[in-house]
Amino acid sequence: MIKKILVLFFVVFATTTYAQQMAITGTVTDANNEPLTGVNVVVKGTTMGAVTDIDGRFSVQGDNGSTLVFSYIGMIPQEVVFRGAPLFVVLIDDSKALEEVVVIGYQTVKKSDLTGAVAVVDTKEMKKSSAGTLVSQMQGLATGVNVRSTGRAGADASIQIRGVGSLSNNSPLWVVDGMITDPGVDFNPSDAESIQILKDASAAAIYGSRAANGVIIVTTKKGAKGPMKVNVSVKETLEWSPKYDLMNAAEYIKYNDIAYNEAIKNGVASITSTQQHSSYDTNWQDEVLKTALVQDYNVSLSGGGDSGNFFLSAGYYKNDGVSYGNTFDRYSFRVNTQGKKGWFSFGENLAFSHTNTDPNQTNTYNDFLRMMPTIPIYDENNPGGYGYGDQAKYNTFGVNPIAREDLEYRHFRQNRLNGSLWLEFKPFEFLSYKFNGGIDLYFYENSWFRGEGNWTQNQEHRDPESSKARDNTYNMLIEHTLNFNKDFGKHHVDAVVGTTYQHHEWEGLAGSRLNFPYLGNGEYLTVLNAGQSNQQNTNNISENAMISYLGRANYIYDNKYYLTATFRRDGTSRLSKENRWGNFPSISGAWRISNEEFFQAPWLNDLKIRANWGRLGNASIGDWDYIGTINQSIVTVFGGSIYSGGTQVKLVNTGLIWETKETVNVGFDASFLDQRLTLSAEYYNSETRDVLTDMPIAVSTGNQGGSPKANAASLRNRGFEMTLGWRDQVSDFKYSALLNVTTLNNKVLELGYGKESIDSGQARTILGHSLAEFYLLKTDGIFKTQEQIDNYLTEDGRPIMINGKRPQLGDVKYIDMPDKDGKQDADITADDRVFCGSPWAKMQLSFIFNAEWKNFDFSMMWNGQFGNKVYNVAQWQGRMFADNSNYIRFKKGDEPYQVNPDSNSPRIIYGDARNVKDADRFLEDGSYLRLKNISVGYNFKQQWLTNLGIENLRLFATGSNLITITGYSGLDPDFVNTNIWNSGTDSFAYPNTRSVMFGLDVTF
Amino acid sequence: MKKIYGLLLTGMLFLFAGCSADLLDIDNPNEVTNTTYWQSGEDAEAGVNACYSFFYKEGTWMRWLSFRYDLSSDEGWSSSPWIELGDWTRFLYNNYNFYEGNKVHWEHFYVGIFRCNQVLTNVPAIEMNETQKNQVLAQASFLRALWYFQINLLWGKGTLVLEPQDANYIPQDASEQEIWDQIEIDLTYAMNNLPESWDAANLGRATKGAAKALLGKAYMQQRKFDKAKEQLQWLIDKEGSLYGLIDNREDNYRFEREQQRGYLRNPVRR
Repeated sequence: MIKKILVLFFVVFATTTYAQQMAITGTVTDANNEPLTGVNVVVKGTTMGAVTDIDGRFSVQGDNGSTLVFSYIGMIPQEVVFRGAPLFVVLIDDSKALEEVVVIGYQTVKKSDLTGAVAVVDTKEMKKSSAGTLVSQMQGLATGVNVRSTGRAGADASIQIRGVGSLSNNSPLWVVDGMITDPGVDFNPSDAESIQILKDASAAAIYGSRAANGVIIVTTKKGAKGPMKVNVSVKETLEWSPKYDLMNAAEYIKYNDIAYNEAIKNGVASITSTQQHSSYDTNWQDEVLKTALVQDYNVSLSGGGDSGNFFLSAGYYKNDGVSYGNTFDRYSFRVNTQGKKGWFSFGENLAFSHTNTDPNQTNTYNDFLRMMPTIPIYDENNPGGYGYGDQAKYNTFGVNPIAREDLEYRHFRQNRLNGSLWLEFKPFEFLSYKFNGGIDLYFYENSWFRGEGNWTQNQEHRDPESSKARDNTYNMLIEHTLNFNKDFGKHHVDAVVGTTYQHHEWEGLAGSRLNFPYLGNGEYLTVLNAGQSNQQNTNNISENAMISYLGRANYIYDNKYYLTATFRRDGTSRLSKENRWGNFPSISGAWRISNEEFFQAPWLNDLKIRANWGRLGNASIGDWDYIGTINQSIVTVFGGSIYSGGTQVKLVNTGLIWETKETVNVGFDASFLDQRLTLSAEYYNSETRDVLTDMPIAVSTGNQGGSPKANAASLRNRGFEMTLGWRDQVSDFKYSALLNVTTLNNKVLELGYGKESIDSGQARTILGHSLAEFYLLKTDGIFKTQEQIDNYLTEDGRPIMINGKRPQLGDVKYIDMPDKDGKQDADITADDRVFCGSPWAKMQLSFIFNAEWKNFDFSMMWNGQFGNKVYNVAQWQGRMFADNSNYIRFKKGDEPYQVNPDSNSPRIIYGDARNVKDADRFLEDGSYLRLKNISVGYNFKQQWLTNLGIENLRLFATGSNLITITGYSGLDPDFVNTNIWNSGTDSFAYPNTRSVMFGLDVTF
Repeated sequence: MKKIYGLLLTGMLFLFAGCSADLLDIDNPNEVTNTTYWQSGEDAEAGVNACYSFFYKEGTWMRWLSFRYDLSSDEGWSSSPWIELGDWTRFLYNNYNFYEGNKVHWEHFYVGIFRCNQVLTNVPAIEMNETQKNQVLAQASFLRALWYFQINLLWGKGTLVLEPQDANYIPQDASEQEIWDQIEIDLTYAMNNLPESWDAANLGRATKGAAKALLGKAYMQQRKFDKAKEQLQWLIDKEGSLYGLIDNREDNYRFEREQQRGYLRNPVRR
């Protein structure tokens, strides 16, 4: 009986195993026959695995016919089929990291041969971002590159490479598949295969006159040889905005009444009673902000054979906006093909995109603060039916954001077709000729309609008005280059010479009318033909062109000594004939010390030091900034009729020349311990001269329409960049960490025309300091005792006045600084301002950590900056008791003086601005450390999926901006202020949204 | 075979290398340039018309100047929730860079002066009817004096700009007296070349009487009352024909009455 059971048991056991399991053994060595310890051995399609021992031997359970996968850090993975006999596996060095090629402009070189500073952005890391544009996905992924995002749907992030080097244009040059054009919000980031950032003169010099702000080269995906692959990716993101901690109606009323009563007590003109508060309690933030859904779908097909390959993609992106009245969507299509026959090859990259943007008409973050909670959203007594300020009940000029977004409609629609076509003839192995042509065509439509109704107090009546503008842009590039590439024994020479022509044309046409029929329910007929009066139209044209001659030669001796020389000559139509042409040379060298015989260390795999110098240029100004023009559409009235006038409105500087930037870069790249540890560091120093700037000139010249361009300043940027990386593998746990550190020091060397300073907002730029340093009134707490007030005197005993009166208990103590003669003037005025800090971070860093274990992957990116200050305008507005506004909640113990005499918050009073002046009280530390992205994913590697033909299936989730460690009390220390003269002031900048994304990526 | 193609492609390169530099000569199709303008009588007329358009701008009588003059005097007061603006009418000057209170006036006056300077510099060289030319120059002189008058009224000093400047210009201080002297020169030229009245189609242009009245006010500001009387006497002599006193003082503040009997703006404040 037992025997039967045992036999049955055995049979059952035998049949429940799929096949005969046995021990698979073997040895793993490297190319020199040395045993490799710690090699990971996995039976494909299962979770059975082992690790090689000290002698390189392993043993794992498997079946006859199973495939074993061998992987080891720094080596090319191998797959071997087990047929019964012990295996002997030889693993080969994965010098892929050294063989990796980068595009540096008209040439591709090996990454290891670079003599300049080039950052390669990891496009796989970019995929983890939920942001919708190429630039915003690049944040934190390269040293020396500062990406700052906004929270607006349809708006792009701003990018700066190595600081602000120019006062007119700080955008880098973008090259997409050989076409020089800005990808913008139309470009589908999933199409990017690789991105290289050329940061210094040696790398960027080949682009000469436009490379002063760095060059970013984007290459889109191409098909690979093999059967057609289909990739589908779905990303669903929920995003939301941070909110202010604002008071509700009851709290607002309490403090508003205190402020009004203080005003009455102090005899402020025309204040006789508190406001007649309503019973409404509107939470403006909740009404305007919501959790938005962002959808991103992409499909691509790719494949290829021996003579060609193809890549097609289609994508749809939609962001329904966290803020009321702001949405964006994009449809994109791409076709990239390549082909080759004999010594002739061609390629084309063509993309079409259609985007729709509904922008915000008002800055909703500003409106939340200015609209009091006692104001209702709707009020049928107002024209248009919306609530806003009222002199008796809630006296403010704040804008009702819902009213404005409802009454004003604006919509941008853009169709863009861009791409390039290249032909290459390679008659000889060492010589090839390439023709490259690129186009970028935009058809942009801006529709605007304003219905009848008001959104703020005291608004004049406006008839319903509709306007429509259509702008066409035609951008074309033609390039011819000749490439030479040959080895002569230990000498290697490669060179490129060429010529390029780029032409840019834009035409805008717009029409508008007034008085449109009202259909009821807030609806109007808005097509221009329905407008009954005041037909207007405008039409203008912009056109510019550039011709260039370029050349670069690289010489390498024995993979040890490198020398590169670059020259470029550019002519632009934007400068006068005498000043049109500029020359931009550069030279660089490198030495691979690790290849020298005298420098051999087993722990050092590679050490290369490099240095370069170059001159780059910039002439990104208007098309005709050097010619003065007459405006002939001035009008005036005599005898009841309109007469036209003509006059010069804007002054010009006819002698404009190229802005030039000279940079020096010194650095090294090293890798240690079998490529596990990599370190790269450099120091850069760049000086921009004859900076083209819209620098303000004397108002008494009568200039209008913007300041004339002038070559009038000199700036210096210098700093240090470092990248430290580590990657390793412990059995089946792979991990890597990367730390990027950047420092930047910016200094103004000259402002031009003998000017010593330029003021803007809360900042002053002065010689010898950096741009936009804060220049504010200095304070020293508040007056808490009468003795302090009595001692508020100048050095020679005169009483100091604030806004014409002596201070009272609880007022802010402003410091009266000595003026130009060294004497205090006993009055607090704009002359009492002093320098209080810099908006520039002393250090920026990012830290990326990646890990893989079995089928799971995990990554996180932290980024941050330290040492900069921010002026918090929202805080100032939230304490604006002098004018009506909603207020930010007081922290316990921080209530105003009348409520808590022990706090440091001043006395609140309506109608008197003494305690709300722009001062260092609102200047805060802008340092932060943020968990930018955290992502987990699971790769399905099951056998049955492979059987279905699915090559790769990944599910992932990413959280963005979820944790921010900062002392800044505003909504987001990482914000954009496009005014470079006041870049550190946060004036209701839209904060970065927080988001959670779920995604699916499948390839089959 | 391969050699031929090799030669062909190098040949093509040289062909394209000769990219014509003329491609970079691109003219501005949107506006006339200042080197080709100022040629005819029409240009002169258009130039002086542009000078007048600055009467109705934010920093002048369309908005903020009226606000400033009327509310700093006894004719009105501000109850605006915009505290900083109200403070300017209460003589509380804490920030001279405040745009709507101060800067906008400076800016708009000097734009007006710039336009007058363009006319005064460029028109003398134009070949056109002499009387017409002198009238154009006289109007520009009157307007320039009017702007400098406001500058002296608000700040008691300024900078004297008498020609169109370029971006290199660095302002020099001019004292109140230097500005009064320039006003006198401009108004004297103006009164000698302006007509006593214009036809209906040109109603609103500066007249001889306007120049005399403004000069009279300028003298009164300098407390040179005898010289003021000389100028103003001419206006009194013209009572009944060109000028007369308004019956109702409040009509000075009604826009319907603006054209009534040659009403001259800006009663003296000080």
